[in-house]
This record gives sequence, C-alpha cells and structure tokens, in this order.
Amino acid sequence: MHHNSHLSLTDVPMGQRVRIRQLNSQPDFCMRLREMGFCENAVVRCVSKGSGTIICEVCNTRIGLNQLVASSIVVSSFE
Amino acid sequence: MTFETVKQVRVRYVALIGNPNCGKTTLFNALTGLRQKVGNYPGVTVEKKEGRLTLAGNSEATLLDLPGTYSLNATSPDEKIATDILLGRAEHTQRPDVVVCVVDASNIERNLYLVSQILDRQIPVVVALNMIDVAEEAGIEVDVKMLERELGVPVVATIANKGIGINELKESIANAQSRTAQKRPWSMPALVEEECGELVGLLQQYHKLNENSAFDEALTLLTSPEALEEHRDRFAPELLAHVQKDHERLDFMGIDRQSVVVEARYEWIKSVCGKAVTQAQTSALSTSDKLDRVFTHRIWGFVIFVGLMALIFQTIFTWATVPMDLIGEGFDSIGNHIHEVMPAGDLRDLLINGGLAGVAAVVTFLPQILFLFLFLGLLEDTGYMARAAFIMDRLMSKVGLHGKSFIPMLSSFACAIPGIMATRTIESPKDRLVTMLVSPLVSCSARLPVYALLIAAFIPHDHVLGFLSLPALTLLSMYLLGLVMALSMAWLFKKTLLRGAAPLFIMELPPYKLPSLKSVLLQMWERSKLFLKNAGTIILGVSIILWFLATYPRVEGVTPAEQLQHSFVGKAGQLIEPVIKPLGFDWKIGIGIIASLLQREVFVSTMGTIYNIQNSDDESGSLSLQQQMRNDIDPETGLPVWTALTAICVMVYYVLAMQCMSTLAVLKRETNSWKWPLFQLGYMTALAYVVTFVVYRVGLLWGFGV
Repeated sequence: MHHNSHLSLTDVPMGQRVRIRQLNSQPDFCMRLREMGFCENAVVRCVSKGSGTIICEVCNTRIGLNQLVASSIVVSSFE
Repeated sequence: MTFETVKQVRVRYVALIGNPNCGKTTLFNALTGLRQKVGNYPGVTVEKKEGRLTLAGNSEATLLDLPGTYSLNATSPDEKIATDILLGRAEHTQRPDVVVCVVDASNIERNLYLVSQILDRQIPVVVALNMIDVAEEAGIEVDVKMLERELGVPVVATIANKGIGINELKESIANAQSRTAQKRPWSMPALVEEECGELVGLLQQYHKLNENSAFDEALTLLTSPEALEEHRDRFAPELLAHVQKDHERLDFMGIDRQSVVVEARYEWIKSVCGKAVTQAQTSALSTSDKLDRVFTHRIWGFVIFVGLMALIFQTIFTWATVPMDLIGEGFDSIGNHIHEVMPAGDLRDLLINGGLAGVAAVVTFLPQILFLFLFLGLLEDTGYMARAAFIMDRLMSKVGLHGKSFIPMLSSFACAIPGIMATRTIESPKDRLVTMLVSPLVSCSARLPVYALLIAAFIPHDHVLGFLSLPALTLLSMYLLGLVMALSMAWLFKKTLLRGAAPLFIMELPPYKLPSLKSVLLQMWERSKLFLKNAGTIILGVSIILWFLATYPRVEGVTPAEQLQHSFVGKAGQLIEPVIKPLGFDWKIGIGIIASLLQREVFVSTMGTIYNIQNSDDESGSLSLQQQMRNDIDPETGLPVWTALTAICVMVYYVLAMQCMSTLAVLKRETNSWKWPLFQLGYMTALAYVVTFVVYRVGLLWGFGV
C-alpha cells in the first residue's frame, strides 16, 4: 500500500490498520457511522472478511459491515 | 467529592442510559434486585422497564432502563425513546432527576461520545464505569479520579455481574447534584465556534430560547444538511438568511459541516482518555478474534450455523420426551383419580374432558418450550446471536433486507411479539415494516405443540442418513418452510409494496463470553410462568367453553361420536367443512383451526377435548390423544380421518396462517393503524390456504394420501 493512497475499506487486507479519511454515504448514515466510532481520523483494523461482509475493530469494538457500507468509507494507510 | 455547583437533588426518578452491550441491563438488575418483567424475551432491551431502587437512608426511587443508544441523535425508534425521555420530550414519562450513564470500560472512547452529549444537557449525571475487570484483562487501566476530574461528574467503577461498586453507585445517585451552566468542555474550530455563538445570540433574541436549547438549535442549523428546508417555518427569515451565509462561509473554508461537531467531541474524548486511560499495546489476536475467524468464516460460519440449528431441533425432540412423558402420566393419573372418586355425570365429564384434557394437552409441551428458550438464551448470551445476523446478512441482502432483520426473525422462533419489538433497532422504516410483516411466518413456540403432537402421532420413527430421525427432520422442515416463506415474502414486499434503497448494514459484534446460567434460567422461568398462566386461563377457559359446545344439545340413545356430531361444535364444524375439505381437513380439524385463532396451541387442547368426548364411553377413551387420533375413522368413507399427509397439511397450514391475536395487536401498536395488521392477517391466511392446497393435491398425486 502506498503512503497516503486513498482506498476504500473493502480494499484493506486482513489485519491491516488504516486511518479513516472520508465518509461517502447519506448524511444521516454518515452520522451513525461516526457515532459508532467510524469518525474521520479514527484508526480501524480489519479483523476478518466474509463474503460481502467485513468485521472491523474500531475503538476496541468489533463492528460488522456489509460491502456497501465498507466501500463508502475512504481510508489511507496508517503510520 | 466537591463540586463547584452544589445543590442537592431530590432523587425520585433515575434513568439508566448507555451504548448497546455496555452491561446496562446487568447493572439494572444489580441496582434494583428486582426480576425484570420484560427481560423474559431473548433479544435487545426495547421496552420501557422500571424497577425500585432503595437509596441511602431508605429513600425510594424509580429506576428506568432506557434502550441502548449510541447517541442522542435518534436514528432508530428505540433510540428515539431514550432521547425523548432524557430531554423531557416524552409524553408519558417524566424527565429523570438523575441520569446514570453506563460506560463500558473496555470501550471507553466510543462510550464517552454519548456521555459528552449528555453532559451538554445540564442534567445531574453519574457515570458508572462498568466491566472494569474485562478492561483490565484487555490491558486497559482507567484512572477513575482523573476521569472524574476531566468529566466534572462523579464516576463510579463497577462490575455489575459481580455486584461490585453497586453500593458506591447508589450513594453517588443519592448525592447527585444539579449542574448549572458549566463550561462546555469540548470546542470546535474557531470559525465554527464564532458562528455558533452568533446564532445562539440570534436565537435568544428572535425566539426567546434559553441558552441551552439555543445552543442545540444552533448546532442543528449549522451542521444538519437539511436544516434549512426542515425548519423553514420555525425560524425568523432574518435568522435563516444568517444560517445560509454561515453555511456558505464554512463550505468555502473547506470545513465539513456534518462531521465538525462529532470530530470536536472525539478530539475532547481523546484528550480525556490521554489523561485517564492507559492501554497496553497488544497486537495478539483476542479470543473473540480467533473465534470470529471460524464462526464468521464465509463457508465455515454458515456450516456451523446450520449445524447448530439442526442440533437444537434434534435435541428439542429427543431430550424433551422424558419430562414430557412424565407430565403426561401425571395428568393421566389425576384424571383416573377423579374418575374413581367422583360419581359419573356432567360435572365429572366437565372436569376430565373439559378442563383437564385441554390443559394437559398443552402443558405436556412445556419441556420442549423450555428447551427452545434455553437454546435461544444461550445463543444470545454467548454473543453468537449477533454473528448469526452477520452471517445471514448476505442471504438477507438477496431479499433486500439486511442482517439486522434476521434477529427479529430468530427471536420469532420463540415468539413473534418480542420479534416484532426487536425490529425497533432497524433504522429504515420500510425495512422495519417488511420485517414486522414477515416475522410471524417464522415458527414460534406456540406452533411447537401442534407440530409435536402431529409428528409424534403420524410420522414414523425411521432414520435418515443414519443419524437424523424422520420426526426431527419433519420438525426442521416446518421451521425451514416458515423461514423460507418469510424471506420470499420479504423479497416480494421489497419489490412491490415497500420499495427501498439497498440496505446499509452496520452492527456491533459484542465479545464472546461464557453464558450466565442465571440469566438464561431466569428467562426460562419467566417464560414457563407465562406459558402456565396461559394454560391456566385462556386455554382452560376455551377448553371449558368447547366442552359445553361439544356436549350440548344432548341427544338420547346415541353413541358419543354421534352425540358429538349433533352438538353445537359438530354442527359448526360441518358448516365450515366445505371450505376446508379441499385441504384434506375434516370438521374436527376445522373446529381446531377456529378455536385456535386466538392462539395456536389451543389447537392441541381442542383435539384433546374433542377426542376425549368422542371416545368417552369405550376403552379407547383412556388411550393417549395420539392413539385416539390414529384410530379415528371417518364413518362415511370408512377411511382414517388422519394420514401422514393430513398431518403434514395441518402443520403446513399452521406454519403459514396468522393464528395469533396478540401479534396483530402488537403490530397495530407499533404501526399505529389497523391497516398493516389486517393486511398481515389477510396475506398470511391466503398464503396458508393456497400452499396447503397445493401440498395436499401434490401429496395425493404421489400417493401419500393413504
């Protein structure tokens, strides 16, 4: 992963930590994402990937997302 | 503890608020010591739940358990309840005197987000820092004194499930102090602060709002994208023009208006955590992570899920038979005893055939229902339920719903009522309505006695694939039929009546944990109480009425079977027979269906009563209900009334038909109109009739009718 390259959460390999850059979804859904910890600048770790679903760890909690949500979260490499 | 603004509050009404999965319900139990009235349903806390709280000096207060919520910006109906009560906007609930904000110590950052919103509200707050033991295990150390200083409100460390910190928490609640105009701890970028300040001034000037609500409104106007359109009528044009300019300015400066407040809150939370929380860096996978690799695996996850379900149904059918036989024998001996000690006559008949037969037929199934609730309780308590929703998301998305809609369906295996209430966590109103409409198609525990009776009586005890018994497989098929139909109807409704965008699925997966036997047993106990109460009231009542209708008018000199045919029930049954004949049902089954419109298990008690009366004067009267049904011969055709095909058809009808008034009443309450309950009644009954008809005809063609 190149430094600062912008990807969506769907592209993140398992175990990788990334930083959230932007949320591209309906406004109230973005709000919900932020409340659940998916806030801009938050660090997320991809725990596992199922078929069409992803489990992430954010703020010490595991959160399950579907592809549609994950693809709306723009992230960049961490560190 | 000393605080600048000291004013003792009279504590009468206390509310518990917190994120989902922060141990709020456990804390509620620990504080009140009262068994919960609504906790008997597996699933999320969605109902208004109150308990008595004894504070220091024996003063009494009411403790209210609010639904779990991530924020005060309500998006789903259950969160709206919490927000409305907290802000004093709820019609039937007063504003609490003190709010106890439950914070999961192992997930302190996100939990503090809600705390930061509540702190803005000038309500007396006590923070319960719960599950500190779990946090310590995860390498998280919290400096409670420092956190208290940073938040400016009392913080009490608790371990609710071990009762630790409960007395200290009660003391803090009793000593809660009013908080007057404290400085807001978090701040936004300077430009936003400046504009917000101006708006607060204008709102106070034009609309005479107090500072607190002016600040709320100013934030909404500045940050919400639809604020201008939504509030056009509420505010003065001058003010709206000002807001418009503010928006333009912030947009020009490249400030994301939507996220600016959330980011500001998280910034503050980070600084609080920086001072009060130390976390040992662990890169190793936690146990939950390792388990999730298997349980949510794209293939294994699904295999495990199906395997678990099969195991549950197999167990319900095999283990439960032992206590069921015991209960059956117990009722038989009571019946025999009454038979011996009482003189023959109508009263004895009423007691044995009316009261006892009906109640016994239903109570026998208590063990199976207990097993079902044991397993559902375990799934919920271990944290697997959320994974089930996660695994099912892919399947659910095929029908246009998301994984969250699966939890109401899973709860509906117990009862559609908690199922319908569990839909309150679904954000989209259309998806929620679709889920409510189809959830009752999932086989609930009230159908179990019907399936169990018919399977035991008519499905042979053969084995398939060596380990699955044919009865267990039939039972599983009935459950699958309900589930498949629920999904198909959901797909149909999403395509036609209730079109909507593709669902966005996001859901917290709580850590796996060992189940608490106490809470699972408590659920089973509450459930069996409810079940027995029903048996003692509704079922007993219906059985007695049915006995009268099946015994009178008396005709002299005929056999009991002929007498039954001449009774009110017999006449009514023959009246409806033409309607149900195409399904292969005789008039007795018709009576069963009508009597069980109220609730499904009445079918079993009805069969118990009718067959006991029909066979009351010969030897077969002492046989089991199953045996009597097997021996029943149609006097006109000379063929058995019941075949395996009839049994399957009756079961299919019960899978699909809406035979539960309570569910309709709950749907009416949730949708606030009779339109949807009536629609549900109509579509389910039509579906049941058509599918049963097809099954019967196809079965006859294949030669299963003998």
